[in-house]
Order: sequence, then structure tokens, then C-alpha cells
Amino acid sequence: MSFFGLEIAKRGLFAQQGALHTTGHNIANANTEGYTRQRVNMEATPAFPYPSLVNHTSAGQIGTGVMVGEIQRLRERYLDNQLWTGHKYLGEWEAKFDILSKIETIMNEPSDHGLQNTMDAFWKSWQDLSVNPEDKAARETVRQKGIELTEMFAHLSRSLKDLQDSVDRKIEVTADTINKYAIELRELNRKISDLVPHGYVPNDLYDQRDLLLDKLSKITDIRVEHMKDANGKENGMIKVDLVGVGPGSPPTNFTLVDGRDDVFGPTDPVLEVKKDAGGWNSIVGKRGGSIALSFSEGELGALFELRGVPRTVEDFSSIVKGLKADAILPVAVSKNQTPSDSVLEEGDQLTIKFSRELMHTDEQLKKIQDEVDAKFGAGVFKVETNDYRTFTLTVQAGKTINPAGKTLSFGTDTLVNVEGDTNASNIDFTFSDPSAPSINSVNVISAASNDKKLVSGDKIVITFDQALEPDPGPKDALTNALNIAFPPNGADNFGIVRKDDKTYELKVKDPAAPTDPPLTVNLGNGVNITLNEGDLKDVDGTSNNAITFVLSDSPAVVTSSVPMKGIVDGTIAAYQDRINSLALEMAHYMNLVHTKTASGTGKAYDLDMIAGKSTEPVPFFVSKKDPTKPPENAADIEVNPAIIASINKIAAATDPNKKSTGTSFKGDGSNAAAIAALKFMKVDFLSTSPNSYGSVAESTSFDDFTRSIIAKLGIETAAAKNFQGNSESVIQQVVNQRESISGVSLDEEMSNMIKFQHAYNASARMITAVDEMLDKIINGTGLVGR
Amino acid sequence: MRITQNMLNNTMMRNLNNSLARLDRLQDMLASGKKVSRPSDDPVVAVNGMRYRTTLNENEQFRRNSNQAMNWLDSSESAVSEAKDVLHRVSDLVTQAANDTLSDGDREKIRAELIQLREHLGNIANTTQGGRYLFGGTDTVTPPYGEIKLDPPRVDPNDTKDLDQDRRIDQDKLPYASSSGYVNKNRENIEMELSQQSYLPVNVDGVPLFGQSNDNLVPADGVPLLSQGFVKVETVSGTRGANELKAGDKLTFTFDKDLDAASQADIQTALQDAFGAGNVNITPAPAPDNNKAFIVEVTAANIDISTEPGLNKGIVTISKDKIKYADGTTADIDMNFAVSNKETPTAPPMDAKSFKDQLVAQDQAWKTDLFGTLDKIINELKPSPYMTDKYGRILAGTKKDANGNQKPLTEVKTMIVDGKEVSYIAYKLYDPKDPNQYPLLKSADQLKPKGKELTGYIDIVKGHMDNFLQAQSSIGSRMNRIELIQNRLDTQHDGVERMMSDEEDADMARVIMDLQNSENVHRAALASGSRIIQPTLLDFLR
Repeated sequence: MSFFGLEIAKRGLFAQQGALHTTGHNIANANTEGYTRQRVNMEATPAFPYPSLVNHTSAGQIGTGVMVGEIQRLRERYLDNQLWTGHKYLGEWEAKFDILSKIETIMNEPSDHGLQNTMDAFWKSWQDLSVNPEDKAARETVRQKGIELTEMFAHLSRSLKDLQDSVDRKIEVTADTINKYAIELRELNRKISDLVPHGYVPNDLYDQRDLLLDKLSKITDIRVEHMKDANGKENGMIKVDLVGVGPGSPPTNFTLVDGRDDVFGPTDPVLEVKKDAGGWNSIVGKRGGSIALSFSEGELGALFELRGVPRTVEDFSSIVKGLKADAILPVAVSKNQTPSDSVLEEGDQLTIKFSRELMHTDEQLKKIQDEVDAKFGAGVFKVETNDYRTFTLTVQAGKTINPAGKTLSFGTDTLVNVEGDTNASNIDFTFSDPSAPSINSVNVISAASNDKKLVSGDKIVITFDQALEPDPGPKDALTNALNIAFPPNGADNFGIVRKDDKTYELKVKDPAAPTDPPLTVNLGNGVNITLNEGDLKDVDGTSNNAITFVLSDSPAVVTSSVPMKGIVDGTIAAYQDRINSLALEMAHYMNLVHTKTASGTGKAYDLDMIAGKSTEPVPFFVSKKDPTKPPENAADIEVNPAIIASINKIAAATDPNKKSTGTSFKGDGSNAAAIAALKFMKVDFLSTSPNSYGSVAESTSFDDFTRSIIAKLGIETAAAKNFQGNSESVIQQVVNQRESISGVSLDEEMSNMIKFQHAYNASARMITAVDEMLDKIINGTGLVGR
Repeated sequence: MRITQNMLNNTMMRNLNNSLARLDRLQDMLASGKKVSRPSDDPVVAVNGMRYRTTLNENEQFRRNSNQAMNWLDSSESAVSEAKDVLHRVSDLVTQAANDTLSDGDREKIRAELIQLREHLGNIANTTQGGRYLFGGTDTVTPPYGEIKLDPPRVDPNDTKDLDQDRRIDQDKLPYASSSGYVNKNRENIEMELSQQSYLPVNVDGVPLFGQSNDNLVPADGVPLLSQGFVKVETVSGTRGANELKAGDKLTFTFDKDLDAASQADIQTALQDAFGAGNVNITPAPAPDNNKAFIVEVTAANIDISTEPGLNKGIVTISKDKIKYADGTTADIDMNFAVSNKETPTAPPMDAKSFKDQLVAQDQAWKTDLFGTLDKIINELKPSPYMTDKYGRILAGTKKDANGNQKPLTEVKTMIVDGKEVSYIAYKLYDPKDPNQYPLLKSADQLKPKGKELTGYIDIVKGHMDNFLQAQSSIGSRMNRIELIQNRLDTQHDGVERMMSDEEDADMARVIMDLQNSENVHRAALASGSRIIQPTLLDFLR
């Protein structure tokens, strides 16, 4: 035991030194982002003696000193989770506030240079013209103010488009950032997994990883899972999921980082940015193939919402999938048809229907006719349409055809709708056996699929191809059919709701009391539901052929979605849409009055017409692309080049009534007054994009509409600002709490330093003491009597 | 709770940031004087501000319009008032001339002054305001008083100097005829918008003041009309010669009143004779016109209007002794009917009476035409021996017979009524090139100026004066209305400005107070920061 004291003191020295080093490490990293303070947990080494058979016994155990038990990272996992949950809101609202304030800057209201003032100036110029119609200066002003207005519209539209493009680029950059984080996280996981099995605790790697997660959590909603080894012990690695970005309903998660993730090379990206059909960036996950991801949370979610997601139009191609035109209208449409007959004869019709109106041109009609001729043979069908949405194919004299299984296929970009967009993907119409049932889609939206039953809350959507008469007729028919299919009173389990004149929803009712078990409707391998001939009547009163459809536990028909080029629904897009509406409605009504014909309050007359040089007034606003057409959007609007060329073309007068026929009336400003009065007219504003502010017409004046844009913008921005502030406070709170636990306090470190220093000094003094003791023993003893 | 340096740091930074943001906002308010600079500062205020601003813009525009309207009416008022004064003078002169004691020389002087006054009224009719003619309706660029283009033109006495004495025209004895008159036909209102959707006509319709009120019936050559009867022609369309009537054509001859039975029979016979025996079938018209109208249906394959002897080139004359009305009265003059093969307008229906009324009105049109009236008076003061139309064109007559009597020459002419041609009988204008024509002369008693007749013109001139008075009062009331509107616009302007200020403008006193407060808070934050952040344990360790 002679040198035991030295050993204890040495242990003390080493332990205190270790603690001092850690204190130094803490101080050095006091300002390192994401650093978590570390603490040396010391523990006493096992005491001596250790009990055994051969040991001598003495009173008590003698302590053997100290050792460094672990270097602990002082961090609260709960707070991390809280931060990660809250951080996405901050990211979302920061991004929204940023972009919305930029829109505010673009709109530049309230000011004397905004859209409102430009419009005011435009109307005023017409007022002045109405008072001085023969004044060249007044005409010139109208022309200039018209140009200013179109430039204002173009400026707003272009600026919003630029903003949208910049958000689109930011989506790309943000996706790259996520990739960078994912690569770093993967790398950290790999390093950690190399260390942890050997008993090391890589505190600083953990810090780096948590910092990356902090940043990632602001971009989107993440879920972090600490992975465990075979024994159920945490192995230090993590799995990071992006929540709710995958396909499916409800949306699935996409795994961004999964432990070592050895399937990826050191620099392989997990996400890929692709251009969609409309030229917009979209994000695809590269795990197990390509998975289209849609982000709705965090900064990235906000960016998508702001930029807008390409609108998918349900059933652009959901045409009458099969059919002798309409079972609901057997007599009118298919006069030679019997329900079991698959062959169409002269006069029978097939119908195909597009989800949007096609451009009203002969070319579009010809494309369809050509495709029909190509698939069925020339001269079999004649294609006609009234509305360029529904096209009827009529069998011509002497021809017969069985259309079953034939497909009309329109390749990408072959069809153009009225808004000028072409189809971004193929549109196929496949005809089924004409004698087949005529319900063209039965959707079962079921929470629990594949278990051969429907439970409370499940919905079946039935879509008919004809508008049906009002309830109760169709509802009673469905009730009867359900009672027959599920005897005796199966219909009682369903709530039957008319969604529109073609669509009914059968929803399995909720149990009578919330505590009861949910209602269940067994489907087995499918239940036939039959609506007999004559059960249904359409709006015209024609009754149906027998219809049978099958209810099974899997969705019967999946209607396809086709992205429309160039149309997106989103915050910026909504403002663009409103500016477009405003510009187009204004152009429309301006032109209406400016080219007014004799009906109503008299024909509009410009100076050339009064002078007998021309007979018709020209439109005031036209399309930049083609001045013979009305403008297509706010950026496309311009003052008619004919008016730019000659102010005589501004129609300030209306034709005089009979008593003055044949006289000049250059001093008549009544049409200019009528145009100026448009300022006060209530106009039906129709959105060009249904999802952005409802497809219902808003009847209001141009001024009011402009103000409503600004009001909406103001309210949205103010809300974003508030939410940003709120989420900032929440995050601040959590960060402070975390800082309170994990942050380095210099005072504390200083006092620790003194503490450890003193202990170190004391240990050193202990060595001196033992040294003196040994000196005494060695040099000071055995000299008695010398 | 454990507090670390970083926490203090963060808190201080956040507080400093917040107070700086507040200062920034307040300074913005102070500099701009507005409560809001972006819609998100306060959406409601921002939108209200926009509404007030556009209301102010409207207001300003309406005030501008009303000033313009006021200018118009001011100028119109002075023109009308001046014209009224001129007419006063005219009326005085006519009264003076009506005195039969006046010598021809005196009347000559009055005539000369009246000619000057007439030209002056023409200038008044051409009053402009900012280059725009006030009395031209919406035709503000063409002078409403201008040259009258006549077709055919007046006979030039020089063209007649080689002619036989009876056909020659004496330059000195020609009637006075100005080549200018109120030619404007535009009666449209010029309306200005003085407040939202409220339009006020600012011009004065020149036609009732200066003339040509029934102008859509003025024939191209302005010849007085003779016809009293009315023929409604219903022809079946088809190719035919210009003067050809074909089998199946129907003509309705309508008298102004019911005829007695004997007279009806006489007239039927006369008509039969005119069209030639056997050419037509004549029946009474259906009730209620059965006693005053006759339907002549052509049965011959064709009748040439110009050559059929009884038709007298299209004029059927029923002598007055054959016309006896059911009420016992008789006709004063022979009735002339113009026969043509042009379909008569049916919509709007024009019956015989209204057609006749319009023809009569046409004959009297000079009364409602200011310049026509003056011309008439001027000519009355020194009568011309020639019969003329109102534009001074000489009418044609036959050669004087042995008794010195002359008959006027007539012809069938057409004019457009409601888009259809209507035939009527008119005096022929004298054409020196036609050797069968002679200038139509007035009878001796028509030639002498009579004070009594001149007196009749005084009332007509007074009538014109009344027109101007009426216009003046209408202008006055409109000016009053504009003044009221202007007052209202002013009040509205002040009100809106006040509301806008209430809504948008920052309360300076308050902003400055707030700024002071915020500044204090900011200072305090800085001071406390400097105290808390500085000392650490380090400072106290040796």
C-alpha cells in the first residue's frame, strides 16, 4: 500500500485535468452554433479491498480515488422535438410574409401611383373627352391614359410572374439545401455508427447532427426516429422522415435519411428537382424509384403554396368511358338500340366529353373527326358539337359499328382549350360495350379497403352521365335499389346526398350514439345494385335503361388527373388571376361600349365614321399577340394599334336619332360619357381559375374589385406578419429553454474551472504529502543511533 | 432556471429589435404623415383610403365638368340675350314700317337696316365657345348659319337678257334672298356628367330659335305644295316602267271629310274618266272610310301615267263643284291628286289628313324660321313682281292669255316620308331654257305693300322673341342647377377630405409622444443591456 496514495492522487490529477479540459472545451465553444455544453461526470473508482476469500479483513474499505465516468452532453430531447415541431410554422410564415410584402410593394397601394390611380386617370380622360369630344388634346389624353393603364396591367402581371418565377427558383434551391442536409446527416450517421459500437460517445457529432435537424425542421415537417440495434439499445443513428409529403390518402411519409443509408453513395441526392409539364419545378424523391412529393408544411410548403401547384383537372379525360351515348336517354340518342345490342346503327350516337371547353375552331373539330376516322374507319361517324365540350359521334347511313374496346387517343399538345392551354398528357377515350351499364363512374372512397365491407363514414360516389330530374325521384330510386340489394332495409344504413344533378353520394351513416360500434355494410365480393328501366328520369323527363353497377371494396373507377399547362393555383397565382380578371373584364366592357352597335342605346361612332371614312368602330383594347382578337390576359392587353395610329378612331359619339340623320355630330360625347360611366357599373367578375377565389361571379365595380384585391392582400399580409411573430415567440421560448439547459454559462465554467483547478492543486499537494511521507520513511528512518 | 450569457444576449437582441421596429414604424408615420404605408398596416384603413381617393378624383372631375358646363351656358346666355335685343329692334322697325304714312324711301331705309340685322342674327347663330359652335347641336365643328345650297339654283337675270320681253327677268325687281341661312339640322343635346350618372344638357337647341323645325318635310327644292288630296298607292312589286301602272295595282283616293252620296257618284265618274274608260274598277273603300275614300283598281294590262290623257301627267283634278261634303259644306278649291306607282309608306301610318297638314305646315314654314320671317318682311317692304319660293327662286307660269291672266305650271314630284317616296303636286320653278315657260307674276293687288299686313308680322316676330325668352329662362334654370351641384360637390369634397384625413393621417401629437416613449424604452433597453452583458465572473477573477 506504499504507493497507493500516489495512485489516488494521480487519478485525481487526471480526472480533474479531464474536467478542466472539458471546461476549456465548453468555454472555447461558448459561441459555437448548436453546441451543447458537456459535463464530466466523475465517479469514485471501486473501493479496496474487493471482498474475496483470501483477503485479510480490515475495517471498512479504502477508497481508491476517482475516474471520469462519462462526458455527458446536457441536452433535453423533448425540447428538440418541440423546436422541430414549431420551427416549420416559423419557416412557413416567414416565407409567406416575405413574398406577400413583396406583392404589397408591387401593388404599391395606397399611393398616388398605383393601379387605382391609373384607373381613375383613365376614367377621367374619358370624362374630359365626353365634355370636349372634338378636342384633339382630350383624345390624345384618352390614348395616353389607355396606354398607361395597359402598361400598369402589364407591369403588375409581369412583376407577379417574376415573383412567381423567383419563388420557383427558390424551391429548387431549397430542395438542394435539403439534399445537402440529407447528405451531411447520412455522413454523420455513418461516422457515429463507426464510433458508438466501440463505446465512444461522439457528443460533437450529435451536436452537428441536431443543428442540421434544427435547420431542416424549418424547411418542412420532419419526424426524427432514434434507431436501435438488435438489442433494443439506441445505436446513435437516426431516421429522418419528411411527414406527409408522399402520395396516397392520407399522405405518406418520405424517408429522407435512414441510418447509414448505404444504398446512396457519399454524394447521391435523395431529392431531385424536375420540371413538370408546365415548366414549374417539382420535387421527386429518389428512394425506391421516383416518388412525386408534395410539400405543404414549413418553408418549402409555403413556397409551393405561394408559387402555386399546377392544377390537375379532374377528369379532363373522364369521358363517357363506355357507352352507347346515354342509357338515360335511350330514345333520343340511340333510336335503334336495344339494351343487349352491342352494334350501333345509323343514327346511334356516342358522346365524348372534355372537362373543359376546347377552343372553338374548326381545327379542333377536325382533329377529333380525324382521330375518329382513323380508329373507326372513314365515314362511319360524323362528329358534331354545340359547345366544344361535348362531341357527338353519329353513325352515318349504311354503317354499323361495335365500338367496344376502341380507343380514341389524343396525344400531348394536340388539343387546345378555350384558355389556350394544351393538354399536357394523353387523353384517351375507351369505349366499352354499348350494352354495358351507363353509369360512368362509381367511386368508393373507403377508409378501410380490402376488407369486403363498408363502415361508418365510407362514401360511394355515383356519377350519372345525364343530369337527373330533381329529388325525390332519383333518391327514391336509389333507396329502393339499396333496399333490394341489402334486404330488407339496407338503405337505412346510407345517407343519400345529391351532390349535383349528376352525382349522388351514398355515405354509410354514423352509429346512433357515438359510443356504439360503427355501422357495417358487408359487400362480400361485390354487390350488384340495379336501377330498373324507368326508375330514373333525366331533366328532360326521358327515362333510363336498366343500369347495374357493382359495389365492391375497392375503388371502381379511378378518374385520371391531367395537369394543365401554365395554370397554377396559389397565392401569387390568385393575385395574377384577379389582375387578369380585372384587365379582361375592363377590356371586355370597354370594347363592348366602344364598338356598340345599333341595338340598345345607339351605335358608337368615331371621327372617321362621322366623316364617312369607315363604317364600324374598332375595339379599344386588343391582344398584343393578335390585334384582331380580344386580349387573353393582363400582360397581353394593349390599346388597339388603329387607335395608336389615329386618335380619330376613338369613338366618343353615338349615332344621333332620326331628327339629325345625315348631319355631322363631332361634338357628341355621349359614348365617351357612357364609357366613363363604366367606372360605376357593376360587373360580374368571373375567375379564370376556379380554385383561387371561387367560381361564382362577383358582381361589383372595377374600383371595388381593385380595392378587394388590396384588402385581401392587406389582410393576408397582416395575418402572415402576426403568425410569423407568434411562431417566432414560440421558437424563441423553446430556444431559450434549450439554451437554459444546453448553453454554456461562462460564469459557471469559470467557477467550475476554479473548482477543478483547486481539486487539481489539492491532488498535487497530496502527491507532495505522499512524497514527504515516503521521504520520511526512506530517508528519515533507520538512522536511530547513527 | 439556469441563465446563460447567450440567453441574455438573445433576449437583449430581441428587445432591441422590437423597439427599433417600433421606432422605424413611428418615424415612417412622422415622415409621411400617414398612419398606413402598406395595406397590411391596416387593411381597412388602406382600402378606405383608396375609396376616398377615388371619390376625390371623381369629385374633382365633376367640378371640372360643371365649370365647363357653366362656361357653355354663360356663352349661350349672352348670345340668346343679344339675339333678343336684335329682335326688339326688328319688332320696332316693323311696327314703324306698318305705318302706311311712310314713303317708299323710308321703307327702303328700314329694309336696309333689317337686312343688316338679319346678317347680325346669323353671326349670333354662329357664336362659338372655345372654338365650338353653340347652336349646332352635337355638330360643333360646322357653322350652323351658313350657305344654302339650292338645287336648282336661282335664275340668273343675265341668262334671260336675250329672251323675249315676257320671259326676261328684271334684276332690280328680284326679291331679296340671302344665300345664307340656319342650315344646321343637328338637334342633339350635348350632355355633361355633373355628378354620378346625372347628365345635364348644356347646349341650346338652335332649331326652334332660328328655324327649320319641321325640316324633314322640306323638299329638296323647297317648292310650296299644291296638293290637298291624298293618294295611297298599293302596288304589287315587279318590273315595270317608271310611269307604268299594272293590272292589280290599287290606289286609294282619300278626301278630308265624308262626302254626300251624289258627290260620291260624281267623283267615281270623274275618276273613271281620268283613268280612261274600262281601264280601272272603282269601289268605295272599306268602312270607316267608305264615304270619303275610293279604291281604284287597275284592270287594264297597263296604264302609262305620263301619256294617259285623263291623268294629266299624274295629276287628277276633281273640280270643286263636284265635291259636296256630308255635313253640307262644299270645297273652296279644286282638289288635286298626285298619281304615281310608288308604294306609299304604311308604317308609321300616315293618313290623308296628317299628310295634308304637313304640306300646309310646310307652306307656312317661313313663320317658324327666323330668317324666313325676316326675308318675308324684307320682301314685303319692297315687293317683287315675281312669285318665288322662300329661297327667292321664281316660279314658272304659262304665257299670259288675252286677258292678261297667267296660270302656274305644276308637276308631280316625290319626296321621302318615313323612308318611302310620296308623290305630291308642286309648282314648277322657272327655267329660262324652256321656251314654254314664263316667269309667274303676282297680280296687281298682291304687289302693293300694306301696313295692315305688316302689322301681322309683328306678332310673328314677337313669337320669335318669346322663343329666345324661353331659351333664356331654360338656360337660367340650368345655371342655377349647376350652381347647386357645384355647392354640393364642394361640400362633398371637404367632407371626403376630412374623412380621409381622420382615417389616414397620423395624429402627430400622439406619434411624437409615442416616438418619445419608444425612444426612452430603447435607451433603457440599451442601458440595461450594457450592464447585464458586460460583467462576467471573469472580471472578478485575478
